Amino acid sequence: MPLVRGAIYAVIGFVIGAGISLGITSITGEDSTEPLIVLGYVFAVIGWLMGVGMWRTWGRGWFGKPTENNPGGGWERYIRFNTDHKVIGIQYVVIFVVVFLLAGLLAMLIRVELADAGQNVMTSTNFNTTMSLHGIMMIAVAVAIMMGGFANYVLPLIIGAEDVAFPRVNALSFWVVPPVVVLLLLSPLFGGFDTGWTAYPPLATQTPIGGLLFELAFLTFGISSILGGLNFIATIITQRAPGMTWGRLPIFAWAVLAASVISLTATQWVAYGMLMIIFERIFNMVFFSPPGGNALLYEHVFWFYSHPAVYIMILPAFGAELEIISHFARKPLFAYRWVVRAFGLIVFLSFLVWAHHLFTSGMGDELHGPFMVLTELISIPTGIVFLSALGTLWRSKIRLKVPLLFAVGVVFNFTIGGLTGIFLADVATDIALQDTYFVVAHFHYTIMGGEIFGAFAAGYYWFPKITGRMYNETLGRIHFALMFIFFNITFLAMFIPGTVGMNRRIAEYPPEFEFMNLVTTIASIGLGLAFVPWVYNMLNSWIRGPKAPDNPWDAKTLEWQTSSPPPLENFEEMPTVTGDAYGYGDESVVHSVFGRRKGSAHPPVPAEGD
Amino acid sequence: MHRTLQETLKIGWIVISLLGILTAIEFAIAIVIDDTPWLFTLLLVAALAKAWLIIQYFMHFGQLWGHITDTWYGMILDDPEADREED
Amino acid sequence: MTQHVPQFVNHRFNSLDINRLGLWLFLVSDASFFIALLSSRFFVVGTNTPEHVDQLLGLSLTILLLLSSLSAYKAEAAFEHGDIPGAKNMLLATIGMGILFVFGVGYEWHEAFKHFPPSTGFGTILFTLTGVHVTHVLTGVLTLGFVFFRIRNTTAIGDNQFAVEGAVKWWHFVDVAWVFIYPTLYLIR
Repeated sequence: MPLVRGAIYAVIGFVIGAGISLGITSITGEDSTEPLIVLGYVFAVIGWLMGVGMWRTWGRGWFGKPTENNPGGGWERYIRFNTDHKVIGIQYVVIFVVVFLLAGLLAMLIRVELADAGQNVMTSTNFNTTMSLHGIMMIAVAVAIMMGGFANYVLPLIIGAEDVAFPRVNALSFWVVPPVVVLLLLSPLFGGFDTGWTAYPPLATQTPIGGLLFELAFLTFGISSILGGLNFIATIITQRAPGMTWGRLPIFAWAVLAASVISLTATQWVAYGMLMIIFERIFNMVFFSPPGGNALLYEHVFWFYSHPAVYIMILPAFGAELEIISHFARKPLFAYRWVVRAFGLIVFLSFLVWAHHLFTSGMGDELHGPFMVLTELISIPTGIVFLSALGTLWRSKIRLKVPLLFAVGVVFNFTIGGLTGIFLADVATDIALQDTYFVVAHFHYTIMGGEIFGAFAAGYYWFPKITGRMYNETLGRIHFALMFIFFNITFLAMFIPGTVGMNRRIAEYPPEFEFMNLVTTIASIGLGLAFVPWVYNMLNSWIRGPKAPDNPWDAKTLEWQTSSPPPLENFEEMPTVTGDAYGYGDESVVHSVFGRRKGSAHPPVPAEGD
Repeated sequence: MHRTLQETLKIGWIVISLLGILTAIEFAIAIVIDDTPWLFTLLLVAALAKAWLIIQYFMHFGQLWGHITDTWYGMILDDPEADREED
Repeated sequence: MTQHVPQFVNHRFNSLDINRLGLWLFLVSDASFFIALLSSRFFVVGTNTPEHVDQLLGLSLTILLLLSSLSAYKAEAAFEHGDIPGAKNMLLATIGMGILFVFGVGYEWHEAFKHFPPSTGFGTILFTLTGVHVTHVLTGVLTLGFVFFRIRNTTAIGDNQFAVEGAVKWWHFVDVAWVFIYPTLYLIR
């Protein structure tokens, strides 16, 4: 059992690390608890990775010994270090669906507390701890469900590759995720952290041990994100099928490439932010506290990652959305090249907008204007993505299946999310709206309404490919209807108290906001219940749904041209790409031909006289 | 492109001499110049030059580009086939 | 009309190309981390550098690291030309200078505790920058040592090529990082 071995090795690692740390602190005579946890955790993660199978499939090779690499097998392959990108994709999806549901329950708890103005079920500190944990768990879901889950499963298939460029690194980037989840779930037992998921110092340096666990978790999660991004970039550059030129690359691959560039470079900044807090905690350094230090440093470093991070979340969702809209509208993707340019522009601009989070933090006034303008500029490329979606749907014969419903839901929700973002990018209105429920509603409209709806679209769209079975269409429609209606009531109702100044991150609030909060709470419970038909549908269809055909959507992209689910190295015969992926309505456009042998670069040469 | 060992080592010695000279210049201007913005700019230029020397000659940055030029060629999003139709 | 099948292929990437690309991407990512480190120096203490900073030590560490980069370069060149003993000598020289560098930083820390401990602004920056860098140096020394033992009995280049090249590139990257850390920590006033 790799998981048991991993857990045992992790305990051994923790003991070793803690022992070293105790040895050091007994010499220097400092407080030993936090260094012990940090060093113990580092060794525990190494032990965990080695135990779970990294040693067998990878580590032995460093010493010239033979490695066991067996990506196949039955259900056991999902619980060990496995290099098959399809297995890793499913591992990511499953673990983050669990995290998503847990964090959703925390959201319910928050809403129950906020149902009336007084204190219901939690003290203020517990409320803030719950809110922070909900925040960081959902952020982790948002970052990884598209990039880790669906991109891992689909990207190599959609570009006609056998696997990603670095399969073992891919497995590594998944297996550092379980420690993250464990740390986050343990943190409430160690006092939790009431800082919000942003963890601003100096408060963050004063939280109990739970806060330290949060910082270690975030740091570890960053490693996963960086390695994932690296892998996708290398995969797209080097592993495309012959003939898959940049101009023929499906839009989902472009979106993943754009998001990977951000996660490769920007994630290092949040790692540094977390490292600074940890250093300040265990070495008494003064990054943030006077004399010398400056708490604004953290906000700059943190948002230099965390603003681009919302594009790590939303770009793959946009890619999946456009992909689905084109295949279900049976029309070529409208303005494909402009969308690609728009993705590029979003990546570029995303690095230049972080300080709009600091408008009320005491940053120099001269920076307000430039960051306001730069932030608002980003609506131009985002608008292009929307025009492409609408232009593709325009006068098309739509096949109104569940994936398309969710994709159109993204268009609707993100429009509201995007338009309310303008008020937050604008300095004058932001000063009034900062830290109110307006921000909360805006953020949930962009990320939940945009990315999570996109992830559900992707989930329904690729479900037949991943499981080989068909989901229940009616239950899917019920899920969409409930989720869409209750989502919109929940978060539209938040804008109103936000606009008149109801602060976020508070357990009690003035009674005049009570009515709208009650509306939000009731709607949010409906939103929570909307996932019940979905969970049932997914589990039931996976186990005994009807067998799905290889290409249930008549889509042209490569992932649908192989069996469902695909064999170990994706294609029985390797594809050669000959035309546009979205050439619907033009019979002469053929996206791909098959018949190339594995490992050979050329398609079979036609016989003389053909 | 295939150099002999002697030629390769010669490049190494030239580069390390340039790096040494640049370091000496850095050290000297840090003593001589008092004006911080000027000092910052000059040090940055010197450091960038040193980094470029190492990246270009020691780390063989060009090697990377030579191999994937064809890849970037398609970056303009046009169909490379169009140009190859002739031959 | 016959289907137009492109004649060019893109399986022109062998594993060496892919590994190189992966390493370079990782270096880009790591460089991003160092940019964050370097910019925090100016945020926390501006351009102030205390009197007690040991300029001679900084200069010696720089020269040491640059020279080790030359020996790493020579090791790679010798290896690619099939001169395994020469490559091993040069690797050993590089590892030796790397260890010397670590001791140099250790001495630096010993002195720094007297004048600017971690609880002061400059101490915070100095310990963080050199600490992160010396971690990179240690990983570099370990990797080079690993390569040194792994190529002991072989003259075939094949599989070993990326091991040597990757370790040496990593070492050069550590050098590039120091090229920026040195003026940031010592020279700027």
